[in-house]
Amino acid sequence: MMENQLINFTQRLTKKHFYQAIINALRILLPFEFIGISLHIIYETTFHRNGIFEAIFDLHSHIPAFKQIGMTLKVSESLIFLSIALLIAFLVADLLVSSSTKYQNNHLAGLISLILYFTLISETSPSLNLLQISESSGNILLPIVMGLIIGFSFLKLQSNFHSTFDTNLSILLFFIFILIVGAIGLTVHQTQYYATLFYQQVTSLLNIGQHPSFFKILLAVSLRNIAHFFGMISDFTNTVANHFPDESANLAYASAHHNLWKIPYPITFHTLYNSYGMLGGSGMLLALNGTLLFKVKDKQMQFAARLSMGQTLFDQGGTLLFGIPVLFNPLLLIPFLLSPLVSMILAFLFISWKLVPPATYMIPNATPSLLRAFLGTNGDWRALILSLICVAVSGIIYYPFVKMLNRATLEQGDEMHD
Amino acid sequence: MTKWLRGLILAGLILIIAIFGLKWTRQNMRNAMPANNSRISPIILVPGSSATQERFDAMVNELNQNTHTTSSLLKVTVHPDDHLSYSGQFRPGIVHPYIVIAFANNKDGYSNIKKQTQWFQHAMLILTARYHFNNFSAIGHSNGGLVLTRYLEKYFNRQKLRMNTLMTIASPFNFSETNIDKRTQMLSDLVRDKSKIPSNLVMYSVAGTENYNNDGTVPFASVEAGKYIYQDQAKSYTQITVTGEDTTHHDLPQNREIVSLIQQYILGNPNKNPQPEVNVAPQ
Repeated sequence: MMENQLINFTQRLTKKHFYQAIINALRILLPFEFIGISLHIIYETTFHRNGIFEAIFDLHSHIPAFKQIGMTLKVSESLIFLSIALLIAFLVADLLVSSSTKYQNNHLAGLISLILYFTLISETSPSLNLLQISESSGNILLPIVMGLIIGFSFLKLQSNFHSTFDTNLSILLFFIFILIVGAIGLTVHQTQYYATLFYQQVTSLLNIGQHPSFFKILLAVSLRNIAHFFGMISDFTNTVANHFPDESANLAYASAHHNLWKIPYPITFHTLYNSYGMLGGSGMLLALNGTLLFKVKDKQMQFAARLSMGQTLFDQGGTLLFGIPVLFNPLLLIPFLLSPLVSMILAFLFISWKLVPPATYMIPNATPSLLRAFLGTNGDWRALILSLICVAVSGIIYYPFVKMLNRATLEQGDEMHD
Repeated sequence: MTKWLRGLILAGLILIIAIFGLKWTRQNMRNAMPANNSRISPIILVPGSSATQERFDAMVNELNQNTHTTSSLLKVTVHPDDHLSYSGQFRPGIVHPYIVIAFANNKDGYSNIKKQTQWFQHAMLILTARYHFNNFSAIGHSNGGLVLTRYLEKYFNRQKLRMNTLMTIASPFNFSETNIDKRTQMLSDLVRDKSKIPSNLVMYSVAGTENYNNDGTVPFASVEAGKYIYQDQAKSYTQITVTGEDTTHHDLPQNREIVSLIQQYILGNPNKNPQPEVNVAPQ
């Protein structure tokens, strides 16, 4: 019953032009995302100061020009992600206009959207350094919204003028929007205070007292996952709950006493979420990836799942987010939010019943997700097994939704053939 | 076939990472420093040869006058049979209490410095447990500076303790040798083990000079020899020379200049609790 409703809703949504524009834009950019993520993984594992391969093999004393290669990778990666955001702004507006217009599409909407988006992020970034600007391009909701607004404005104007859209009019439109962008930029600069205040409010809401309760940790995780589901991947959403003070107390205890069973705060964001709740990136994407690999029928999705398998092992789900896409997919929202919570509840029970020690040790940067708890507990097998259980349970949670995904795409395919 | 091969390669990779990553984690934790500093961070004072636990009274008085506070001054003497005798008092609630660690056997000479270092280590074990501190600063006058240096190289456990600042006052790292090219056995030993000195230590070596060569007892060249031990090993090594009034070897601790140096570099330094970077997993 619920299932049919959800599928119906998804299918109705899929017929909307704006949704198609978003999904197609994401899918077109899949190769870019794949390359960007690959470079990112190489950088984080190999050229980062504490990267896992660097830590294991002491690479910086063996690879010539280590720092330079690392910087090159870092810069290329940032530029790729910036380009992706720019292309999203372009494609969403362009696809939206071309999907529903009877007239010839001369890409004006896309270009305007792209320029406006770039102006907006340059304007609001703390400095005009290109790397600094690309930092703010992580939030891909912004180019999507920009593309939609420009696309809709074009369609509206076009239907009013009943003729091929005039270049003069597009210039007029451009000026109106550039004024708006300027105004937004100015407001952001003038009112940085309010944004910071908002962040502070959220952080302090989650932070009351020295030590967050289990429910607050769940709340923080859900907030973060909802934000990620809608493409809001930014510094703030990434670190919303990383600043709880109890982790350093735990670490201090562990380094002094080498006993994980008696650390002062066994239940923290780190011991639950980072160790068990984000295997493969937010939303337990490792589990989704595995399920897709074996169960999905759609060729395109199968391909995306195969591409991203190696990457989700290293916690980078970007290829999956773009290729299925997971982003904005109503069928996957529920398990995306649910599976991390279930995994964390499992971890909470196991830790409370003293079946596994809480993971507290420092681990190398970009450690593969399955090994994080194992290494963080100084090599406790039970932690590794719990990680596997969490992935398996999340896979079971994802399974019915993947089946629904199959049904939805299959019926759509049938309709197209008819 | 290729499907299985890919899975196998990934599994192998994970296995390698698991084995070597574990090695890294263990090593990393073994070298970890105490992360949270105790609120109490005493200043340990070590007198030199033929001086008693009262050696620093004048200095502490002067410091108290300068800072307009009364402080806590505990005086401990370690006896050859390892038992400690206490006088003065340790007042709880003071962030920088002074603790003098003196030795009943206060003779000069390398063999005695070795013994004194053992006694010092013994006293530190008891005092850290008794007064609950894991970080401290130290001032050593004359041979006291040598005891502290040897302690850092032979006994100091950097996982459990942290020395924030060390100040040696007229410590003869090369005994009475005026020629820096002639290293005594002690200096060679200390230079040999310099790598044990914690790299987060801030070190000041103060020399007094009555004339161009010495403070009446210790040659300047011998104090200066400390650079072979600390320079490029400690976080910073600063050599300070004081001249003028009260610069004979025995007056140095209460020398006004030196007292104000202590006030500035050891008391004035609030020793903000340095936190280690918590390596949270990547996003």
